[in-house]
Amino acid sequence: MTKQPFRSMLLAGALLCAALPVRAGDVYVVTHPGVTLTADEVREVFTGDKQSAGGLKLVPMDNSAAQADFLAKVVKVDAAKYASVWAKKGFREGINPPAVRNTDLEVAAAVKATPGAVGYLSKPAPDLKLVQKY
Amino acid sequence: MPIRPPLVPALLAAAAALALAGPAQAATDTERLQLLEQRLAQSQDLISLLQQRLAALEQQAAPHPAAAEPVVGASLASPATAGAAAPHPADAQQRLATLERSVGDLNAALASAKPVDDTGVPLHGFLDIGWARHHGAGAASAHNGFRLGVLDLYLTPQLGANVRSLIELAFDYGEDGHLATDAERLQIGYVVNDNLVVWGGRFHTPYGYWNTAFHHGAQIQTSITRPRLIAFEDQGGFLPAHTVGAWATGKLATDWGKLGYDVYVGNGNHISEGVLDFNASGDDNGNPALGFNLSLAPRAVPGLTLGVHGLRQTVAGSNVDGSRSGKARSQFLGGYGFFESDDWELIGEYYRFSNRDLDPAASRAKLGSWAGYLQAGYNLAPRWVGFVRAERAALNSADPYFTLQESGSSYHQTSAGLRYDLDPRTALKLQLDHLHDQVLGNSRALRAQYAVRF
Repeated sequence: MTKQPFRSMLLAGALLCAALPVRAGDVYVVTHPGVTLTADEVREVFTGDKQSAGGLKLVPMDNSAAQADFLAKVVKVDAAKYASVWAKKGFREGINPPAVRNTDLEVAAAVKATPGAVGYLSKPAPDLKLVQKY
Repeated sequence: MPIRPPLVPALLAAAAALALAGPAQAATDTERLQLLEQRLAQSQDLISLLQQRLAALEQQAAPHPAAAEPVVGASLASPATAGAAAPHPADAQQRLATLERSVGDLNAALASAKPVDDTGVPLHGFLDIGWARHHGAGAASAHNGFRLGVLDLYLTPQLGANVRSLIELAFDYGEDGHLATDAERLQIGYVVNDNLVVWGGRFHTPYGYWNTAFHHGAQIQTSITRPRLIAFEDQGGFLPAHTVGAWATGKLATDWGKLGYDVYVGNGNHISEGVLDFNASGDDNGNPALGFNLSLAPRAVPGLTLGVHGLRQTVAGSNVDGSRSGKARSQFLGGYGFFESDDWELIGEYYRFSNRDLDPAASRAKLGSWAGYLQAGYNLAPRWVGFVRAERAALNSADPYFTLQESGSSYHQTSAGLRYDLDPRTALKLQLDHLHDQVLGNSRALRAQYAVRF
């Protein structure tokens, strides 16, 4: 019978898959062409600590499709802490959290159309200014 | 001659017809938005299908195509690029390019249909309910049992690229059982840049850390109560928690870290029936309150903020039963610190008063007093935080600024408690206080609180 070796192979495969580290997705931080921003400043933009650059009001945009990777790699907090940071920021300084968009396409289109916009994507966007790939 | 599967022209025709359809006559913006989203989704599906067919055809035309990294908006590439990459019949290329432009237009329409910088006014707030049990001579007038806390509602409408506002309303029942409605903050600001924001209106006086960081935000503060020395004016505090005036604030990035500043001028307070009043309708004696706050968040120690602060004003008024009145110049200098890490939260504030009695018969000598607190919180386990606090005020009994205030007596208090976060927006807290007040005597209190933010 071939059933037993097949099961063993499946089990071995499953164990191998479980042992492999899960690779987080890439994150591309992009801006409207007029924005000058360094990689060090990206975290500050998305925690409300930096609201302007070069005389331009910054408009950060969240991307729910890539938010988990972005928060883990760039802001270095989880979603609950991120929400808490913005709740405190709004209460103390009267500023609003970034608008949330659902897909890379939406974010790319909005960043392209909005002066001062800063967003992040899971894939590169050739026609937007890349600040940093994470 | 390349093979042209019959599916391709049909798909192209359908896609072109879909993409080039006339403008939707939706009755509302929502319907229009839904229609645009639906059209975009349909177009993206078609593009995916077309790309697959394109790839199959390219493979037939060129057996070894180079692999390319997927990019956002690849389907939105310029017609020239698309044409150069696809050795297809001219009409197919033209239709595909038209379709791609249409999807690009749809994306742009979607982006403009959801403005990120609109003036919508989402409502935020805090709500808490509590329970308390008091013991001891010092708590003779305190009420036991359940109590409604504060319903605090705030809005942060952005009124333009540089104009910001903050409106906060608080509703709470006082010890006398009456519902008090308070326009807690009414601020309109102008944002020059990160270095300078100018506010006008009624704001939380920016001394120390606690008063601006937590204020009525019960859910975001670890403990149930504020330190008594910075309690609200009508709840036992002897510092002005609110100011009506103008306030310049900003942050500057330096090599050492982020430097923050606040400079403010407002109506000086007066003391009415033993309670500080911040003169919302105008200064009663023409002596404005002047204050500052300088802070540094050093780059070398993430999470730490250290600062110095000061406030000067002339205050007149009468005690709780009107039997005594007086006038004093009050000024304090002090410092504060705040540290937050994954496990720790440390807060400390110190105030050194150097007041003068302005009664013509008084000596006008400096009257020194001081007050301060230190609170430490530690994450005992996921969702569990334990905290302790020690506070002390040594207030000069000859200083009219304090003696005219009902709460202006020296005291020391220790507190300890536990906080459990039911979820990121909801907290249950328990706190035990032991107070010694020089005038009222000793008292103990056990408190519980259920606090949410929304």
